[in-house]
Amino acid sequence: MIEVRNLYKTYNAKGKPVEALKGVSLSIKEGQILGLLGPNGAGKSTLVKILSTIIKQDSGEFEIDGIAYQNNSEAYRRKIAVVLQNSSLELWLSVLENLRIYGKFFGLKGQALEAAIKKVTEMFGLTPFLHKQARELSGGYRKRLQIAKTFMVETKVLILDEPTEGMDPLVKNDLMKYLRQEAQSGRTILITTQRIEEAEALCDEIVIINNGKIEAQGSLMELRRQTALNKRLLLHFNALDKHKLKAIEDYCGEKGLRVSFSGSTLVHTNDAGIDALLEGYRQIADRFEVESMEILNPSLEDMFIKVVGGGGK
Amino acid sequence: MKGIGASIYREYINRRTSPRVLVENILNPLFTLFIFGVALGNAIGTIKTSSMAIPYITFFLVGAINISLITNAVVAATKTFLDKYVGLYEEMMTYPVNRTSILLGKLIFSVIISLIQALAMMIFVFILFPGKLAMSINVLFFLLWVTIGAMAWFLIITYIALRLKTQDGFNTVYYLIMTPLLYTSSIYYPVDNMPTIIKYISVINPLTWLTDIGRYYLLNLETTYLSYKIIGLLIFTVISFLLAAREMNRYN
Ligand SMILES: Nc1ncnc2c1ncn2[C@@H]1O[C@H](COP(=O)(O)OP(=O)(O)O)[C@@H](O)[C@H]1O
Ligand SMILES: [Mg+2]
Repeated sequence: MIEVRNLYKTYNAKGKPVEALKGVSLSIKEGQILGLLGPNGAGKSTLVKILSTIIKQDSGEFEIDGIAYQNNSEAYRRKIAVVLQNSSLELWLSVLENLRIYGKFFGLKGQALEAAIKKVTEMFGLTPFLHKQARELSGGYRKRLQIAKTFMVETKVLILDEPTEGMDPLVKNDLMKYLRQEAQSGRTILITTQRIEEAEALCDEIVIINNGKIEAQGSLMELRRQTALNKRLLLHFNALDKHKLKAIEDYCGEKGLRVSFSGSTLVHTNDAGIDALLEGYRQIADRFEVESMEILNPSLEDMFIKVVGGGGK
Repeated sequence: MKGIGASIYREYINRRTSPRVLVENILNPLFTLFIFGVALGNAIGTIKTSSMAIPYITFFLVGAINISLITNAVVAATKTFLDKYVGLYEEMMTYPVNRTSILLGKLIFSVIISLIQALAMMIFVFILFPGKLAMSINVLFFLLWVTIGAMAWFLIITYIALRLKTQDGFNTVYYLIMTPLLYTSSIYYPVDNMPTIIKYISVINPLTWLTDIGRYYLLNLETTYLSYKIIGLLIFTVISFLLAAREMNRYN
């Protein structure tokens, strides 16, 4: 549904070039939710603005539903609804007027428009505020209104730039649920976030971006497989004293096993996969009595921190 | 072009909701007309040409209408800045409509407001100064020129607003350009009585063209080079449209 190939974008900030995107490619299938995960300044909003036709890439291509965006093509824009990172509301107009204006630009009118407004105001708990001016709403509610607008219309693609910023957890849960529903009804969703747990909970595909470059991408499973931070083997020993610890370390050194101790727990890692880990276990268990063992999957968080070099949250 | 309707609707709701709706749109122009028309009118008396004498209030009426066209255009441009500031301008760029149609919607709304203002001012003079404004079929031609003038000012000022990054910059450019334009035009008094240098400058001043054309149609006041002024104003309007539309569709 969404194809992005090799996008480059350099800003000119007071004569100094800032390379915001350095060859970004990704692809999202129909009905999928792709999470673009990255720390502040990674280039997420730049990608969103390019896909939303607000700014132009220096090079590279993108298309949605087979339509490439060229020369301000409306056909392309008919495919998308966008929630930008910065709030964009008519602050001096009421919630109702904000929704009406948005709907009209998307060709809704009469009964259909009113029905759409009713649907989203109920969904996002905005009904009590229908006649309040947007500027009177709290930050969280403004965000809801902004997102609610895009739920009024039925574009094939929904693009949301850090929609959960400043949202309370309950509403966030609702939003996640609604996004899932939209995806199930066939809408394709691109969402950016700095929060790993959101990407983990919501997205079919995750793309980790940092410094304008994609560091890793795939499903959660694939990502775990791709990263060098593989599964870890944890071994617990009985009555582990200094001497025993030293002996285990020396032994592992001889055998070429990568281990470290965290308290009285031995952590063994091996990039070659689970069989290699188990082979390491066998070698250690040959010599020392192991009380218990477990194999841990790396969390996305571990991976994210590794990928972005600790720069992320 | 469904974008035009939506854009007009948006402008309408915004203007209607403004707390200063009446002051900005009706009272302000009437006030300008009244203050200058009456005060300067007392000082100047009548405007005499070779063939006729015109009460100052009717002479100034056309100038005041032109001032309201410009004020209107500035109100619209300020709204464009606000849109940029609150992020709405960027969001509108993503809407599934032709971007020129957004511009056209704003333009049409601004022209409608300008026409209402012009009519209110004409009725004001017609009622308060009976016998000083003759109504004839030429009024329709005059309103046509109000329409074209409103378009020209809206488009050129919107173009400047779209080009500039900050409201400060806009204000500066606006005053740098508008102040000399206003005072070298025939808005307040006939250019004929002014120093030669101003007379020359006023020849290339679109504000003078518009005012002179308007007076020709509304007051039968003869003017030199009428057809050049008409052609000049039309070209100015077309160029302003092309500039504003290009800026609206700017994509980089
Ligand atoms: N208009 C701009 N002019 C100059 N630099 C910009 C502009 N917008 C973003 N940048 C820079 O580009 C980089 C990527 O920014 P952005 O795409 O906003 O990242 P993110 O959304 O992931 O936080 C940052 O270094 C940012 O400072
Ligand atoms: Mg961002």
